[in-house]
Amino acid sequence: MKSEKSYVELHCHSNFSLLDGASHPEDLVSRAAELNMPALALTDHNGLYGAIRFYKACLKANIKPVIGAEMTLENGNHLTLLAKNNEGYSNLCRLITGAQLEHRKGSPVLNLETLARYSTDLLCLSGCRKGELVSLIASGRTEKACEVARRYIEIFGRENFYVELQNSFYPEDEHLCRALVELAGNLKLGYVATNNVHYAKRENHRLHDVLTCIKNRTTLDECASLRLNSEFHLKPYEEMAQLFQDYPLAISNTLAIAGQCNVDLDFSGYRFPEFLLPRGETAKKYLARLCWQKVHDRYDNMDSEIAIRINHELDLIEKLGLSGYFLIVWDIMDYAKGNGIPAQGRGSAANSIVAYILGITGVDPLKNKLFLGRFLNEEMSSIPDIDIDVSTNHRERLIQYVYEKYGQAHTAMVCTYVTFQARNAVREVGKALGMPDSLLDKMARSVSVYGAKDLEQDLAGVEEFLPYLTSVPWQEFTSLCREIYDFPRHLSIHNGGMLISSCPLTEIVPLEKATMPGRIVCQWDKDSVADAGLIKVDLLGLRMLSLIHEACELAEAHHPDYIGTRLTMDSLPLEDESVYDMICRGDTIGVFQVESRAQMQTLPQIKPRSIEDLTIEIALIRPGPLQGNMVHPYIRRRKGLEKVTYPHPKLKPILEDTLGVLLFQEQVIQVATAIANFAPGEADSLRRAMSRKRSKDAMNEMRQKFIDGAKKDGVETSLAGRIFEALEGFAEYGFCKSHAAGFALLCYRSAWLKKSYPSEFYCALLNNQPMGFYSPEVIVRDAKRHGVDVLPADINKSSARCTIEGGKVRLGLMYVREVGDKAMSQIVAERERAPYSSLEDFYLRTRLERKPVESLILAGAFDSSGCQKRQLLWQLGLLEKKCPGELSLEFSDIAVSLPDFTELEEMKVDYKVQGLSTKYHPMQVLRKDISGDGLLRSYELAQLAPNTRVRLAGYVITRQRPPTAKGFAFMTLEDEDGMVNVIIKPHVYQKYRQIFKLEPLILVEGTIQKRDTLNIIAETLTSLRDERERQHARNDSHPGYPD
Amino acid sequence: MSKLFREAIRLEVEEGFQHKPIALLYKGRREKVRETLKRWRVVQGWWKRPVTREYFQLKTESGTVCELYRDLLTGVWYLQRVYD
Repeated sequence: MKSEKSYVELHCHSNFSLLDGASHPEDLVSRAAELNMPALALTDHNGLYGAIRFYKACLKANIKPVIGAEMTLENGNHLTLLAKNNEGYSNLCRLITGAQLEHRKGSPVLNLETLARYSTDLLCLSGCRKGELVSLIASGRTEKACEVARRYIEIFGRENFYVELQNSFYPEDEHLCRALVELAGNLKLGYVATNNVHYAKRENHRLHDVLTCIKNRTTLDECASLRLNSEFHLKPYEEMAQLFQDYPLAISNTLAIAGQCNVDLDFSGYRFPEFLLPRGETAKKYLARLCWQKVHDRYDNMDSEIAIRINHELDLIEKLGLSGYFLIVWDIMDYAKGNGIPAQGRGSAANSIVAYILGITGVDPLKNKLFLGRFLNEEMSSIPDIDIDVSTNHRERLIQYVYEKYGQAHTAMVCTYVTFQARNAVREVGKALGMPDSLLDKMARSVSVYGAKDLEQDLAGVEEFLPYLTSVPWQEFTSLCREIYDFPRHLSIHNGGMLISSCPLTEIVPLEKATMPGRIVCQWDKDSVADAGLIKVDLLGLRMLSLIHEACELAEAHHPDYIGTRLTMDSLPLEDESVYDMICRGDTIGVFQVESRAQMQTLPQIKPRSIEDLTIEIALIRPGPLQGNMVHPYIRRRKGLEKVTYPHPKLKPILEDTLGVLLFQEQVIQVATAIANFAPGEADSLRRAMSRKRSKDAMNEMRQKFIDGAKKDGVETSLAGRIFEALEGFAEYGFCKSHAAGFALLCYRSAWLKKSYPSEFYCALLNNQPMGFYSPEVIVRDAKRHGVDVLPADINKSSARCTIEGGKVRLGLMYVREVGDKAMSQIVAERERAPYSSLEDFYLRTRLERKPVESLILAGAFDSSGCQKRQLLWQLGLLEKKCPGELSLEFSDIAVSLPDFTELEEMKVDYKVQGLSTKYHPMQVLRKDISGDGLLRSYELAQLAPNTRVRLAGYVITRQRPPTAKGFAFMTLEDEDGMVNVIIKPHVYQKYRQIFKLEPLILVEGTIQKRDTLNIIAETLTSLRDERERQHARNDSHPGYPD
Repeated sequence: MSKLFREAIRLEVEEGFQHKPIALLYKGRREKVRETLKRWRVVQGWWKRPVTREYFQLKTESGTVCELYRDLLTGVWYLQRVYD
């Protein structure tokens, strides 16, 4: 430890004390560095969520990290624990896990027996004003306080238990400190000063107050638990020494304690469990044996290229110590395959021939010219994850298999933190400041940035928010939103990351309950897991795999001529021209990865005719290539409008397949290797350095290295610089080719199903929502445009899920709101005894509550009874008054005649109860209400010449303003005939932003643009609602105007 | 019992190290501070009417116990309460 004139903060909360800490761990560390603290502790509430981030930041700042936690005891009191060494750290993990798992989720408490069992190598500080000692002394129970202190002495040993002194400028603090020091003296205990830090700098106290309100769901005006002042920040030695001038030992002891704490959070030695091998096998030998056994399943003709690649990979895998890991993943995939669970490896693992042969991935790396170095190379600094996409509907089975195989103690799901982003920041911070809900709702929906950094500027672009800009609370509001950005809000479960370790996980990381009953998560997210040197297996739920599986099953059940494709989906021929024709038309709603508006726009230009082309298409329409201005050059080259050139002849073999354009992450590595002589590991480091969290210094260093390497090989400095910039511009968001190739297969398969078995495809698509870009209503209308009729839910015909009925899709009961799982099973089970003959029969047999029955009536599920909906609702009212067992008595005087719903009313209730209408398109109904004055329908546009001025109204099915589009916005309007793309230039967007963002139905005026696709270049946007009201008003003021 | 002034009374205070009060001038009389009994800070209401004060509960040489505060934004002292 540094000189005596130092102070170490040993009680410090980061924002991982969820909603009770107002600084990121990194900000605390950087403030501690400014204050010359030689060490700093992190003591978040009942958790080590931020420990790895804190630890890393400390090492970087050359500050000693002290790892601890503030625990809540069963009596509600707090206790500060610090780990002296790795054994102490493991005990801390066990204690937190015990507190978390043995109690209700979100209310961890530690009991004294557990504390005593795992107290070795922990230092204990007596706690803040919520600590037991302070509480007792404050209430005058000094004797009891001594008794409690003796209990802790017994648990931890006298030398490991310190009385904690805090002076946060509360009225009683000086008195309490005096009494605590006296108690320490009587019991021969050490004492130590802490500042109960909850934020790095004094000014952060505002945010802490706001967080307190968010936590207590109240406003600043009404919150009763705000702290008295702003003293809970990191303070310099001088200030702390002054505060504790009467107790100098309290300050020097901070150094002594920090000096005792030495924890190393590198757990790479516990990376993954030993794979259970057959007797006499080593992981290396067994992996090799499996490969050579299975190679013939993948390759009919073995050649030397295959053998060389296998041997090279096997050597590399062994060298990196990953043979066991490959076996673990193979075993999971083998189980999936053997149990009919659709799954496939994703990401860079598809570069590996070993993964391909073992059935982990489905893409042949040789045929697709996939470059191994992106996945494995000799100089790897971190372990590559193998991610597995698994059918969402089957994922749980695979997770359970892993739990069973490796045991609950060695397996947990990785967590993820739900963080504050622009929208929830606006809602929650605004609420704390007491701003009206309606205003916040409007603002949140108007926000067009994801992060809160540019929020102020963004909202200033909306005229109606301008008056708020000048007011004081508004300024506080936007700055607090900025400050709260990226703060963890609460813990959630990662989409699929499973941590498997060789030692019990509770020795490494605390575990806690997830929301899902029985599910356990670890307190680290994927980044912390990786930074701790651990490895996870990602089992990511992919709904497209569920869709393909279900569509195949439906096809098999409903088509006698079905070719048995489910069994051969893996070997489905990939050359069906009619499938590519459909894709090339941009007819791709529901097709994997190519259904977005941007994809639909480029498909007719690029015209993919093979899996390789689809691989490129998938990788091309992404932020990386868009930002790097690579999309248009590629399209022009593809169309033959531009010559294919290469910045340097060495790049020809690397970029040939992509027409000289940089498209894949693998190419970044290959270019760095070819031009600057980077070793594969170095080149991969370059790719990583260019990732999202890039540091300017690291990039400059890399750039120099690249230019120097290129120079040695005779490449001019200016050219090398240009190539480096091209790499830099792209690598941030690029796709890896192997990943794109895996997705291309799924893209083709889904397109093939859409083309060959449309009813089954749409049925499965509706059953696996939410997925992709479009809402169910859009899918239903797309189905209709493809000749697939979608029938409304029916109490006598619908199952819970959508079904095929005579080639048509019958909507499932799951689409009707208010009808829960229990009600659905009840309806179906009762129907199996006998069909329902009427509403009364249904009501008396199921005895469901009013709400679900009402929803079913409104959704048209009783239409087949021949009764009108209003009549049925009336009947329902009468039935409700009837007691069970009562005879059915019909009185003619209560049978009333009610008018049925109008089209508009029917459509509205359709949307209300099921979010879609199988009968009406909104435009079909509303068109009658608006003047036909020059208003066109989408099918009429194709016949018009470019630049023709048009007016068109439609329902907005997508609206986007991608950051890469230089201020342009796009939307897709749909009317009863089809879809039209609308392009909104920046100045038009500025004017009509609120309509663009908030209105469901929009009338657009503009001109036609015709290239490979047809677009409307918008000049004005009008809300259809306003237009209708305007026309009504006009009609009303002209009494003679015909209705 | 104590008397709480609804409107705190402005007060002249002689300050020592770190603004610690040494003596008060009240109603034309100078009273030396014998002992600081309590000291605390209040930082609240920043979102509408900011309150940033350092409070002292003191005993003067004449035996009067009172509470006064220094507004940390203006440096001005006020008498808040006098105890019987």
